[in-house]
Amino acid sequence: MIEGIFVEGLIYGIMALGVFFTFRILDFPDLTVDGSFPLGAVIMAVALENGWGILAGTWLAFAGGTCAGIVTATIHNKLKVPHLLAGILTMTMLYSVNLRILSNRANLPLMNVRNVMDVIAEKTGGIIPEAWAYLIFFILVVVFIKLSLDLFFHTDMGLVFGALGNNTQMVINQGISPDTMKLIGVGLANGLVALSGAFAAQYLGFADVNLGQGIVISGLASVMLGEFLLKSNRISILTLRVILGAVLYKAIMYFGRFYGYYIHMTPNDLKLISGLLVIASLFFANYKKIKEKGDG
Amino acid sequence: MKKNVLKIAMTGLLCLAAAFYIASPAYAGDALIGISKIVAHPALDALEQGVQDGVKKTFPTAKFDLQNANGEMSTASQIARKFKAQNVDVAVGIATPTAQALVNAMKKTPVVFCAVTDPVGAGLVASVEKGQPYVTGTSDMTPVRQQIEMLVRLAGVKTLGHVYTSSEANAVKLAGIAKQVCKDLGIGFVASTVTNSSEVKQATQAIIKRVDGIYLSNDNTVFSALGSVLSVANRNKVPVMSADPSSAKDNPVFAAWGFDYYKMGVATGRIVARILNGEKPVDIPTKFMTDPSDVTLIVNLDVAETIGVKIPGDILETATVIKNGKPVN
Amino acid sequence: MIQLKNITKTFNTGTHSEKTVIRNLDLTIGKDEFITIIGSNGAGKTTLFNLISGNLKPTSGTVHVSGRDVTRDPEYKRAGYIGRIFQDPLLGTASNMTLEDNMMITAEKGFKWLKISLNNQKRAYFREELKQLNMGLENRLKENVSLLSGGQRQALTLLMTVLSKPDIVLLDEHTAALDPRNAAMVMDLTEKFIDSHCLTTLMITHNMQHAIDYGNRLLMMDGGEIIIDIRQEEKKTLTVKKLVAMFNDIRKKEFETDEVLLA
Repeated sequence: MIEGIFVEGLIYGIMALGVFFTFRILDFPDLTVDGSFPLGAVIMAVALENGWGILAGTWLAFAGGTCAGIVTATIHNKLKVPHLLAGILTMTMLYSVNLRILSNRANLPLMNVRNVMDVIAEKTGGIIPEAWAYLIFFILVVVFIKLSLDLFFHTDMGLVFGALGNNTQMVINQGISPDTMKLIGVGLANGLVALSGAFAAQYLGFADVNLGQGIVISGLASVMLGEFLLKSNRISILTLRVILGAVLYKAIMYFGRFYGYYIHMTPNDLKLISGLLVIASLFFANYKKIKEKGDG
Repeated sequence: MKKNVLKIAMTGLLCLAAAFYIASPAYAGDALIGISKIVAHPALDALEQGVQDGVKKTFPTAKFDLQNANGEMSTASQIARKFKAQNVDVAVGIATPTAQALVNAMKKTPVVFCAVTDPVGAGLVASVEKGQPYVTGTSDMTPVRQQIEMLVRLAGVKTLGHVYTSSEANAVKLAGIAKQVCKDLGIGFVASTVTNSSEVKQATQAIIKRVDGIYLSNDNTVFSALGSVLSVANRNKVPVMSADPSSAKDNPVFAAWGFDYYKMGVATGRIVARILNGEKPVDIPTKFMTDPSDVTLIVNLDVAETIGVKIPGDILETATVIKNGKPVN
Repeated sequence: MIQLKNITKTFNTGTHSEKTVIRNLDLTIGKDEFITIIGSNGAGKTTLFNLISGNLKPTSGTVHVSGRDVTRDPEYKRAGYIGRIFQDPLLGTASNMTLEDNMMITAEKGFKWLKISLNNQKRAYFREELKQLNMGLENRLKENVSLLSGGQRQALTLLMTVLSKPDIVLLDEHTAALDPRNAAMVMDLTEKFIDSHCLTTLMITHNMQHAIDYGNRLLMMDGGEIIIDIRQEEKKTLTVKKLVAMFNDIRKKEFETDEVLLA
């Protein structure tokens, strides 16, 4: 259970941070995510298979995701294609790219290669149970990523990102090209998503080109749940609540499977639940706003 | 003006290319067999190889066009149309979706389905007693009852867990059979479904504490995530019975009982050869792998040790035993 | 400093809704000029601003800044030396961020890099500058800008624009959406800042009296052309009546907008 909820929640939380970046900060609904997540997974798998090492695989995955994001932003900037369509185009192309990276296979098992999960298990062998070791490791990783992201948003460039989604005119007025900012932003966000995919592949034990199917919805659901959990305008709370939302989302999915049969719910219904969750979170988040409008 | 000339030239070139592609003649003399599989996967790859070897026994110079639909239905349809345009002599569809795509696209070319669990349910043939005018093949309807009984015998299972894909028709059918078998045997049955390979790990974790055995049928999606199931099951000391012996050779599966997919491929290849020799598909009933020599049992002693199960001596003699990661006999 | 030569701007060329909004316009703006621009709706005032700022490109004609041809430069490039304040008080600040973050973003023009410039020194500087507004905003640095009123936000926008040291400031009816008290306050601040920082300014206003009282040059636009251009000395003796009479003479028709006359 610890693994299913917390470890998976943390790993997918990294992806949710990427979705948060594009969807909320940049106001750029980005579907590239469905393609960059498996991109990270397959790059990591190939790196492990060829013995390039876990660290190299991780960096390559991040770089690959960033490139994918840059492609999307470029399509949007240069060809004036709307956000969603640009993301869909890249995501579609990535499917073929991912297959190519895996040498035209759709799936690559990682059971017999040494990956980060094995390293953790070895180093902590016997001292603490495996599940806890994984948990501690991923908490450290995610905290590191979160703090880096917070620091980033406090830099001058980060401040401009904060304004970009809210008031693009203001960014233009400073003499900054919003196109350039989108390139950097969408690139970084997808780098995070690919990083998440790289970890997920090692956790799940295989890399598959279909891993990303529908993942943007779980990312959005995580972001929405997070907004429902904590209210704030400070960036450090904003990033925290995304991660909490991701863990909560995985918990809901897990308990849905675990206890669902009591209420005659099957795991098939989980997708419906995901959609309803997003709607409910949106409703409650907006409820206050609607109420105020009504009274004021 | 220049732009228009360029456009016309491009269109002309494209038309020419299309014409060449469509008009490519079948290899004169040597038979051309188109083989389409739904994904790259050890079992399906073994089938593909078996089909070729089976055909080559009678037609050593036959040519094969091997295609992989990579899990996409639309690709499977495109492959079917390609085979049709190439005028293949016989088309082989490995697994239900690709077989269906071939039958839909080719009305006058013999289609041999390979390893389709339920050909009647899939709409390929009206009954398994005989073929259609242009359709026949082999079924990998797996001996669910024997598999579950074997697991119970080896590890004394009281509640059986079953992870399967709710969107795969053959998986759903087999799950229904498994449920019935458990009912007959008087053991509990706990199902956990997935729609995508990334859900397999969580799905296994959700039931692992409630079961003392796991059964995996011929489910392509779950098999692509085999690693997820095994890591959870082995850590929780729950034995896994798989219907696919080929993936049990390289992965720590407690036991696997099923056909050797390669042998099934060869059997399919032999049906293709019969058709090339002039036999009509309608006269060939669906072939099931019921021969004892077609079935393989694999047990993994390393996993047995981790789980703490002792395998009876008579099984050790007849089964393929994996020890220290390698087959012993 | 800014030279617009023979500018024409036509929308929807070739269709039946073709409209020429600016017609063969020539305008030279010198350094330290404070130009007020007045005209009825549709005269082309905002379009003129858009052509200067780069939001719109002219159908024909050129724009030169300090001798350089910037006609094809995109808006964000020109924003490097142009400051613009819009009528909507919400457009000048990012409502999801704090006062200090907003001020930090606008402290300097140009691309921002990965350093953290916001420190206590900067905060002290911001506080000092905010005191000039006399709104108590210097004590609210860490508050979100969305909590400020429209008047406060526009005043803040004004300050932020001035502090970013632009070469030219474009004020597009920046007090029109404010209530009279706030409007007056912002106009006072505007005059103060332009004076103290010697800013080259163009201000569109619907208030004829304001147009006369403020600035050292007055332009009246009508139908996409500049029909009246009054400078320094002549401007000092202007009255609303005189201006309306001038318009009648040139255009041979009544000056349209009531609000302008009743201002």
